[in-house]
Amino acid sequence: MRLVKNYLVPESIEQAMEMLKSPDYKIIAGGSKINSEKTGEYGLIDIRKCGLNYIKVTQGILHIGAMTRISELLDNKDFCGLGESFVNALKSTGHAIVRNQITIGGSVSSLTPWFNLATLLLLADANIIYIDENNSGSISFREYCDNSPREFIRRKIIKEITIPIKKYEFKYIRFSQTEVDYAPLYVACSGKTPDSLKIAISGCLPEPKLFDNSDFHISDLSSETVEKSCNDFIEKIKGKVISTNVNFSREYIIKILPRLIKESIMEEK
Amino acid sequence: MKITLTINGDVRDFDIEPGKILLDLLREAGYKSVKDGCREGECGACNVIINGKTTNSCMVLAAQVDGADIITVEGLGNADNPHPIQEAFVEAGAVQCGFCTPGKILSTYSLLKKNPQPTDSEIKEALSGNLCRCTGYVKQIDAVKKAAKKMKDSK
Repeated sequence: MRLVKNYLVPESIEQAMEMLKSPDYKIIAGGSKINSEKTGEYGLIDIRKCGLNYIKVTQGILHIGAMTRISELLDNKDFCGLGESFVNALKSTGHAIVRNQITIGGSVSSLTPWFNLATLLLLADANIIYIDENNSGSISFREYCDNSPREFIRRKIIKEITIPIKKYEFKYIRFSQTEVDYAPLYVACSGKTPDSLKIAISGCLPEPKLFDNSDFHISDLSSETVEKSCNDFIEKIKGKVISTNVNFSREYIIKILPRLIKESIMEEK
Repeated sequence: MKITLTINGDVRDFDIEPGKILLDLLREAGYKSVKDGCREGECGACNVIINGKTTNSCMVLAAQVDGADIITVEGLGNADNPHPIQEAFVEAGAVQCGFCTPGKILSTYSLLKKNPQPTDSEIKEALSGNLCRCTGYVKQIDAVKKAAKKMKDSK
Protein backbone atom coordinates (compact mmCIF):
# COMPACT_ATOMS: atom_id res chain seq x y z
CA MET A 1 0.00 0.00 0.00
CA ARG A 2 1.29 3.45 -0.91
CA LEU A 3 0.43 6.55 1.08
CA VAL A 4 -2.10 8.07 -1.27
CA LYS A 5 -4.91 10.05 0.31
CA ASN A 6 -7.02 10.46 -2.81
CA TYR A 7 -6.93 9.51 -6.48
CA LEU A 8 -8.49 11.70 -9.15
CA VAL A 9 -8.92 10.97 -12.85
CA PRO A 10 -9.76 14.17 -14.76
CA GLU A 11 -11.23 13.96 -18.25
CA SER A 12 -9.38 17.02 -19.58
CA ILE A 13 -6.26 19.09 -18.98
CA GLU A 14 -8.43 21.97 -17.77
CA GLN A 15 -9.97 19.74 -15.11
CA ALA A 16 -6.52 18.47 -14.17
CA MET A 17 -5.22 22.05 -13.77
CA GLU A 18 -8.14 22.87 -11.50
CA MET A 19 -7.37 19.84 -9.35
CA LEU A 20 -3.69 20.78 -9.27
CA LYS A 21 -4.53 23.96 -7.39
CA SER A 22 -4.69 21.83 -4.23
CA PRO A 23 -1.15 22.11 -2.88
CA ASP A 24 -0.82 18.51 -1.72
CA TYR A 25 -1.79 16.95 -5.04
CA LYS A 26 0.58 15.87 -7.76
CA ILE A 27 0.40 14.46 -11.23
CA ILE A 28 0.88 10.76 -11.88
CA ALA A 29 1.89 9.80 -15.41
CA GLY A 30 3.32 6.27 -15.87
CA GLY A 31 3.86 6.01 -12.13
CA SER A 32 7.25 4.30 -12.17
CA LYS A 33 8.78 7.09 -10.06
CA ILE A 34 5.87 7.94 -7.75
CA ASN A 35 5.01 4.31 -7.12
CA SER A 36 8.51 3.55 -5.94
CA GLU A 37 8.37 6.28 -3.31
CA LYS A 38 7.99 4.82 0.14
CA THR A 39 6.88 7.89 2.05
CA GLY A 40 4.72 10.94 1.68
CA GLU A 41 0.95 11.23 1.81
CA TYR A 42 -0.59 13.16 -1.05
CA GLY A 43 -3.37 13.09 -3.59
CA LEU A 44 -2.70 11.92 -7.12
CA ILE A 45 -4.09 13.28 -10.36
CA ASP A 46 -4.01 10.64 -13.08
CA ILE A 47 -3.87 12.34 -16.49
CA ARG A 48 -4.33 9.22 -18.62
CA LYS A 49 -7.71 10.44 -19.93
CA CYS A 50 -6.46 13.92 -20.89
CA GLY A 51 -5.55 13.02 -24.47
CA LEU A 52 -1.80 13.27 -24.03
CA ASN A 53 -0.84 9.94 -25.59
CA TYR A 54 0.19 10.69 -29.18
CA ILE A 55 3.14 10.98 -31.52
CA LYS A 56 2.64 13.20 -34.55
CA VAL A 57 4.60 15.27 -37.04
CA THR A 58 3.62 18.77 -38.11
CA GLN A 59 5.79 21.12 -40.17
CA GLY A 60 9.00 19.23 -39.56
CA ILE A 61 8.49 18.94 -35.80
CA LEU A 62 7.95 15.71 -33.90
CA HIS A 63 5.34 16.15 -31.16
CA ILE A 64 5.42 13.56 -28.40
CA GLY A 65 2.47 13.67 -26.01
CA ALA A 66 3.49 13.56 -22.36
CA MET A 67 1.76 10.22 -21.70
CA THR A 68 3.58 8.44 -24.53
CA ARG A 69 5.40 5.38 -23.24
CA ILE A 70 9.04 4.66 -24.03
CA SER A 71 8.02 1.39 -25.72
CA GLU A 72 5.61 3.32 -27.96
CA LEU A 73 8.40 5.65 -29.04
CA LEU A 74 10.53 2.66 -29.96
CA ASP A 75 7.71 1.41 -32.21
CA ASN A 76 7.41 4.78 -33.97
CA LYS A 77 9.25 5.23 -37.26
CA ASP A 78 9.41 9.03 -37.01
CA PHE A 79 11.07 8.85 -33.62
CA CYS A 80 13.46 6.10 -34.71
CA GLY A 81 14.26 8.21 -37.78
CA LEU A 82 15.93 10.76 -35.48
CA GLY A 83 18.97 8.53 -35.52
CA GLU A 84 20.73 5.59 -33.95
CA SER A 85 21.63 7.48 -30.78
CA PHE A 86 17.95 8.04 -29.98
CA VAL A 87 17.08 4.39 -30.54
CA ASN A 88 20.03 3.19 -28.47
CA ALA A 89 19.13 5.53 -25.63
CA LEU A 90 15.59 4.20 -25.47
CA LYS A 91 16.54 0.56 -25.92
CA SER A 92 18.69 0.75 -22.81
CA THR A 93 16.13 2.60 -20.70
CA GLY A 94 15.39 0.36 -17.73
CA HIS A 95 14.31 -2.99 -19.14
CA ALA A 96 11.68 -4.35 -21.51
CA ILE A 97 8.87 -4.42 -18.93
CA VAL A 98 9.42 -1.03 -17.37
CA ARG A 99 9.59 0.63 -20.80
CA ASN A 100 5.89 -0.19 -21.11
CA GLN A 101 5.28 2.01 -18.09
CA ILE A 102 7.72 4.94 -18.23
CA THR A 103 6.32 8.00 -20.03
CA ILE A 104 8.25 10.80 -21.70
CA GLY A 105 6.38 13.44 -19.66
CA GLY A 106 7.04 11.68 -16.37
CA SER A 107 10.71 11.33 -17.26
CA VAL A 108 11.05 15.00 -18.15
CA SER A 109 9.26 16.20 -15.03
CA SER A 110 11.14 13.97 -12.59
CA LEU A 111 14.51 14.10 -14.42
CA THR A 112 15.65 10.92 -12.75
CA PRO A 113 19.40 10.38 -13.15
CA TRP A 114 18.70 7.35 -15.37
CA PHE A 115 16.63 9.28 -17.91
CA ASN A 116 18.65 8.07 -20.91
CA LEU A 117 17.19 10.51 -23.42
CA ALA A 118 18.12 13.68 -21.54
CA THR A 119 21.47 14.34 -23.20
CA LEU A 120 19.97 13.89 -26.66
CA LEU A 121 17.04 16.21 -25.95
CA LEU A 122 19.60 18.85 -24.95
CA LEU A 123 21.62 18.45 -28.14
CA ALA A 124 18.54 18.34 -30.39
CA ASP A 125 17.10 21.63 -29.06
CA ALA A 126 13.96 19.90 -27.82
CA ASN A 127 11.19 21.99 -26.30
CA ILE A 128 8.69 21.36 -23.56
CA ILE A 129 5.13 22.53 -24.12
CA TYR A 130 3.35 22.90 -20.80
CA ILE A 131 0.05 24.07 -19.39
CA ASP A 132 -0.18 26.28 -16.35
CA GLU A 133 -3.00 28.22 -14.78
CA ASN A 134 -2.50 31.09 -17.22
CA ASN A 135 -2.65 28.94 -20.35
CA SER A 136 0.06 27.16 -22.28
CA GLY A 137 3.72 27.96 -22.64
CA SER A 138 6.95 26.63 -24.03
CA ILE A 139 10.47 26.32 -22.69
CA SER A 140 13.55 24.78 -24.23
CA PHE A 141 14.71 21.61 -22.55
CA ARG A 142 18.06 23.28 -21.97
CA GLU A 143 16.55 26.28 -20.22
CA TYR A 144 14.33 23.99 -18.20
CA CYS A 145 17.30 21.92 -17.00
CA ASP A 146 19.29 25.05 -16.16
CA ASN A 147 16.64 26.69 -13.98
CA SER A 148 15.47 24.57 -11.05
CA PRO A 149 13.33 22.29 -13.22
CA ARG A 150 11.49 20.46 -10.48
CA GLU A 151 10.40 23.75 -8.96
CA PHE A 152 9.43 25.13 -12.38
CA ILE A 153 7.19 22.20 -13.22
CA ARG A 154 5.55 21.81 -9.81
CA ARG A 155 2.24 23.54 -10.63
CA LYS A 156 2.30 22.81 -14.36
CA ILE A 157 1.36 19.91 -16.59
CA ILE A 158 3.69 18.87 -19.37
CA LYS A 159 1.65 18.59 -22.53
CA GLU A 160 4.26 17.44 -25.02
CA ILE A 161 7.91 17.37 -25.99
CA THR A 162 8.82 18.66 -29.44
CA ILE A 163 11.93 17.75 -31.42
CA PRO A 164 12.87 19.16 -34.83
CA ILE A 165 12.79 16.27 -37.30
CA LYS A 166 16.12 15.41 -38.86
CA LYS A 167 18.65 12.65 -38.78
CA TYR A 168 20.92 13.50 -35.87
CA GLU A 169 24.43 12.12 -35.85
CA PHE A 170 25.18 12.38 -32.18
CA LYS A 171 27.80 10.35 -30.46
CA TYR A 172 26.09 8.82 -27.43
CA ILE A 173 27.86 7.00 -24.62
CA ARG A 174 26.05 5.26 -21.82
CA PHE A 175 28.42 4.19 -19.07
CA SER A 176 27.19 1.07 -17.34
CA GLN A 177 28.19 -2.46 -16.44
CA THR A 178 25.33 -4.04 -18.37
CA GLU A 179 23.12 -3.36 -21.35
CA VAL A 180 19.94 -2.77 -19.38
CA ASP A 181 21.17 -1.52 -16.03
CA TYR A 182 20.43 1.97 -14.78
CA ALA A 183 23.56 3.84 -15.81
CA PRO A 184 25.25 6.50 -13.66
CA LEU A 185 26.61 8.49 -16.56
CA TYR A 186 25.56 9.55 -20.03
CA VAL A 187 27.62 11.67 -22.43
CA ALA A 188 26.48 12.84 -25.85
CA CYS A 189 28.33 15.03 -28.32
CA SER A 190 27.66 16.90 -31.54
CA GLY A 191 29.71 19.23 -33.72
CA LYS A 192 32.57 18.68 -36.09
CA THR A 193 34.80 21.63 -35.17
CA PRO A 194 35.83 23.11 -31.80
CA ASP A 195 33.51 26.08 -32.35
CA SER A 196 30.47 23.93 -33.06
CA LEU A 197 31.18 21.43 -30.31
CA LYS A 198 28.33 20.67 -27.91
CA ILE A 199 28.54 18.13 -25.13
CA ALA A 200 25.66 17.04 -22.92
CA ILE A 201 26.20 15.20 -19.66
CA SER A 202 23.58 13.60 -17.43
CA GLY A 203 23.25 10.99 -14.72
CA CYS A 204 26.11 12.22 -12.57
CA LEU A 205 25.03 15.88 -12.30
CA PRO A 206 22.03 17.13 -10.31
CA GLU A 207 20.35 17.95 -13.65
CA PRO A 208 21.30 17.18 -17.26
CA LYS A 209 23.58 19.91 -18.61
CA LEU A 210 24.69 21.13 -22.01
CA PHE A 211 28.20 22.50 -22.47
CA ASP A 212 29.93 24.07 -25.45
CA ASN A 213 33.46 25.08 -26.25
CA SER A 214 33.26 28.15 -24.04
CA ASP A 215 33.34 25.58 -21.22
CA PHE A 216 36.05 23.40 -22.76
CA HIS A 217 38.35 25.87 -24.55
CA ILE A 218 39.51 23.32 -27.08
CA SER A 219 41.72 25.05 -29.64
CA ASP A 220 42.24 22.08 -31.93
CA LEU A 221 41.09 18.50 -32.07
CA SER A 222 44.38 16.79 -31.45
CA SER A 223 44.25 14.06 -28.87
CA GLU A 224 46.58 15.87 -26.45
CA THR A 225 44.65 19.15 -26.59
CA VAL A 226 41.30 17.46 -26.09
CA GLU A 227 42.61 15.40 -23.20
CA LYS A 228 44.03 18.41 -21.41
CA SER A 229 40.82 20.41 -21.96
CA CYS A 230 38.68 17.58 -20.63
CA ASN A 231 40.81 17.24 -17.52
CA ASP A 232 40.71 21.00 -16.92
CA PHE A 233 36.95 20.95 -17.43
CA ILE A 234 36.44 18.21 -14.84
CA GLU A 235 38.48 20.19 -12.30
CA LYS A 236 35.95 23.01 -12.73
CA ILE A 237 32.78 20.91 -12.41
CA LYS A 238 33.78 18.09 -10.11
CA GLY A 239 32.16 19.76 -7.10
CA LYS A 240 28.83 19.26 -8.83
CA VAL A 241 29.29 15.59 -9.62
CA ILE A 242 27.09 13.35 -7.54
CA SER A 243 27.21 9.59 -7.12
CA THR A 244 24.04 7.92 -8.25
CA ASN A 245 24.79 4.26 -8.57
CA VAL A 246 25.89 1.63 -6.09
CA ASN A 247 28.30 0.20 -8.65
CA PHE A 248 30.35 3.37 -9.16
CA SER A 249 31.62 5.81 -6.55
CA ARG A 250 31.66 9.57 -7.07
CA GLU A 251 35.47 9.46 -7.20
CA TYR A 252 35.36 6.85 -9.95
CA ILE A 253 32.85 8.88 -11.96
CA ILE A 254 35.13 11.94 -11.71
CA LYS A 255 38.03 9.80 -12.92
CA ILE A 256 36.18 8.24 -15.84
CA LEU A 257 34.23 11.29 -17.03
CA PRO A 258 37.06 13.13 -18.86
CA ARG A 259 37.94 9.92 -20.71
CA LEU A 260 34.37 9.47 -21.87
CA ILE A 261 34.06 13.11 -22.93
CA LYS A 262 37.29 12.78 -24.88
CA GLU A 263 36.02 9.60 -26.52
CA SER A 264 32.77 11.29 -27.47
CA ILE A 265 34.64 14.20 -29.07
CA MET A 266 37.37 12.25 -30.82
CA GLU A 267 35.21 9.53 -32.36
CA GLU A 268 32.80 12.12 -33.70
CA LYS A 269 35.46 13.65 -35.92
CA MET B 1 -12.82 3.94 -4.48
CA LYS B 2 -14.50 1.51 -6.84
CA ILE B 3 -12.74 0.04 -9.87
CA THR B 4 -13.55 -2.62 -12.44
CA LEU B 5 -10.98 -4.93 -13.97
CA THR B 6 -11.28 -7.68 -16.53
CA ILE B 7 -8.96 -10.40 -15.27
CA ASN B 8 -8.40 -13.37 -17.55
CA GLY B 9 -11.72 -12.59 -19.20
CA ASP B 10 -13.73 -12.25 -15.97
CA VAL B 11 -15.15 -8.82 -15.17
CA ARG B 12 -14.55 -8.10 -11.49
CA ASP B 13 -15.41 -5.11 -9.28
CA PHE B 14 -13.21 -4.00 -6.41
CA ASP B 15 -13.55 -1.43 -3.66
CA ILE B 16 -10.01 -0.31 -2.87
CA GLU B 17 -7.92 2.21 -0.98
CA PRO B 18 -6.38 4.67 -3.49
CA GLY B 19 -2.85 3.59 -2.55
CA LYS B 20 -3.45 -0.11 -3.17
CA ILE B 21 -0.92 -1.56 -5.58
CA LEU B 22 -2.11 -3.95 -8.26
CA LEU B 23 0.19 -6.73 -7.06
CA ASP B 24 -1.51 -6.87 -3.67
CA LEU B 25 -4.98 -6.64 -5.16
CA LEU B 26 -4.33 -9.55 -7.52
CA ARG B 27 -2.82 -11.80 -4.89
CA GLU B 28 -5.59 -11.06 -2.39
CA ALA B 29 -8.11 -11.82 -5.13
CA GLY B 30 -6.57 -15.27 -5.56
CA TYR B 31 -4.18 -14.81 -8.48
CA LYS B 32 -1.21 -16.34 -6.70
CA SER B 33 0.85 -16.78 -9.86
CA VAL B 34 1.60 -13.08 -9.48
CA LYS B 35 4.67 -13.27 -7.26
CA ASP B 36 5.65 -10.75 -4.62
CA GLY B 37 9.39 -10.26 -5.26
CA CYS B 38 11.26 -6.97 -5.03
CA ARG B 39 8.26 -4.60 -5.01
CA GLU B 40 10.32 -1.98 -6.87
CA GLY B 41 10.10 -2.96 -10.52
CA GLU B 42 13.42 -4.77 -10.76
CA CYS B 43 12.73 -8.51 -10.74
CA GLY B 44 9.66 -9.00 -12.96
CA ALA B 45 8.18 -11.76 -10.76
CA CYS B 46 4.94 -9.78 -10.46
CA ASN B 47 4.71 -9.21 -14.20
CA VAL B 48 1.18 -9.28 -15.65
CA ILE B 49 -0.16 -8.22 -19.04
CA ILE B 50 -2.20 -5.02 -18.89
CA ASN B 51 -4.02 -4.06 -22.09
CA GLY B 52 -1.57 -6.17 -24.07
CA LYS B 53 1.62 -4.85 -22.45
CA THR B 54 3.77 -6.63 -19.87
CA THR B 55 3.85 -4.54 -16.71
CA ASN B 56 5.25 -4.93 -13.20
CA SER B 57 2.15 -5.03 -11.02
CA CYS B 58 4.18 -3.84 -8.02
CA MET B 59 4.77 -0.51 -9.78
CA VAL B 60 1.16 0.15 -10.67
CA LEU B 61 -1.58 1.43 -8.44
CA ALA B 62 -4.77 -0.56 -8.90
CA ALA B 63 -6.54 2.76 -9.44
CA GLN B 64 -4.30 3.43 -12.45
CA VAL B 65 -5.68 0.45 -14.35
CA ASP B 66 -9.40 0.90 -13.71
CA GLY B 67 -11.17 -0.55 -16.76
CA ALA B 68 -8.14 -2.49 -17.98
CA ASP B 69 -7.82 -5.99 -19.39
CA ILE B 70 -5.39 -8.02 -17.31
CA ILE B 71 -3.89 -11.42 -18.03
CA THR B 72 -2.13 -13.51 -15.41
CA VAL B 73 -0.68 -16.98 -15.92
CA GLU B 74 -3.94 -18.45 -14.56
CA GLY B 75 -5.52 -17.09 -17.73
CA LEU B 76 -3.13 -18.94 -20.03
CA GLY B 77 -3.37 -22.49 -18.78
CA ASN B 78 -3.17 -24.83 -15.81
CA ALA B 79 -1.66 -28.19 -14.88
CA ASP B 80 -4.42 -30.10 -16.67
CA ASN B 81 -4.48 -27.92 -19.73
CA PRO B 82 -1.15 -26.09 -20.04
CA HIS B 83 -0.41 -23.41 -22.59
CA PRO B 84 2.29 -24.38 -25.14
CA ILE B 85 4.63 -21.87 -23.48
CA GLN B 86 4.14 -23.58 -20.12
CA GLU B 87 4.79 -26.97 -21.75
CA ALA B 88 7.93 -25.64 -23.39
CA PHE B 89 9.34 -24.29 -20.12
CA VAL B 90 8.82 -27.69 -18.46
CA GLU B 91 10.24 -29.66 -21.40
CA ALA B 92 13.30 -27.41 -21.70
CA GLY B 93 14.06 -27.73 -17.98
CA ALA B 94 13.70 -23.99 -17.64
CA VAL B 95 12.03 -24.19 -14.25
CA GLN B 96 13.82 -24.79 -10.99
CA CYS B 97 12.35 -23.01 -7.97
CA GLY B 98 9.62 -21.58 -10.20
CA PHE B 99 9.35 -18.17 -8.55
CA CYS B 100 10.29 -16.18 -11.65
CA THR B 101 8.51 -18.52 -14.05
CA PRO B 102 5.05 -16.87 -14.25
CA GLY B 103 6.66 -13.55 -15.11
CA LYS B 104 8.83 -15.17 -17.77
CA ILE B 105 5.87 -17.06 -19.22
CA LEU B 106 3.97 -13.79 -19.64
CA SER B 107 6.96 -11.96 -21.15
CA THR B 108 7.30 -14.87 -23.57
CA TYR B 109 3.58 -14.73 -24.38
CA SER B 110 3.83 -11.01 -25.17
CA LEU B 111 6.94 -11.50 -27.26
CA LEU B 112 5.56 -14.35 -29.35
CA LYS B 113 2.32 -12.54 -29.94
CA LYS B 114 4.23 -9.64 -31.46
CA ASN B 115 7.10 -11.61 -32.95
CA PRO B 116 6.39 -15.34 -33.54
CA GLN B 117 9.97 -16.17 -34.53
CA PRO B 118 12.31 -14.13 -32.36
CA THR B 119 16.09 -14.26 -32.55
CA ASP B 120 18.20 -15.01 -29.49
CA SER B 121 18.89 -11.33 -28.99
CA GLU B 122 15.20 -10.46 -29.25
CA ILE B 123 14.44 -13.15 -26.66
CA LYS B 124 17.10 -11.79 -24.31
CA GLU B 125 15.72 -8.30 -24.78
CA ALA B 126 12.13 -9.43 -24.07
CA LEU B 127 13.18 -11.28 -20.91
CA SER B 128 15.50 -8.51 -19.72
CA GLY B 129 13.03 -7.44 -17.05
CA ASN B 130 12.68 -10.93 -15.55
CA LEU B 131 15.46 -11.89 -13.16
CA CYS B 132 16.19 -15.53 -12.34
CA ARG B 133 18.50 -16.52 -9.50
CA CYS B 134 18.59 -20.31 -9.74
CA THR B 135 17.86 -21.84 -13.15
CA GLY B 136 20.07 -19.57 -15.23
CA TYR B 137 19.05 -18.13 -18.54
CA VAL B 138 20.25 -20.61 -21.19
CA LYS B 139 17.42 -23.09 -20.74
CA GLN B 140 14.91 -20.28 -20.58
CA ILE B 141 16.02 -19.01 -23.97
CA ASP B 142 15.75 -22.60 -25.25
CA ALA B 143 12.24 -22.74 -23.79
CA VAL B 144 11.14 -19.61 -25.63
CA LYS B 145 12.43 -21.03 -28.93
CA LYS B 146 10.66 -24.31 -28.20
CA ALA B 147 7.47 -22.42 -27.39
CA ALA B 148 7.72 -20.47 -30.64
CA LYS B 149 7.95 -23.74 -32.57
CA LYS B 150 5.05 -25.30 -30.67
CA MET B 151 2.84 -22.30 -31.31
CA LYS B 152 3.79 -22.23 -34.98
CA ASP B 153 3.13 -25.98 -35.37
CA SER B 154 -0.22 -25.73 -33.62
CA LYS B 155 -1.53 -23.21 -36.18
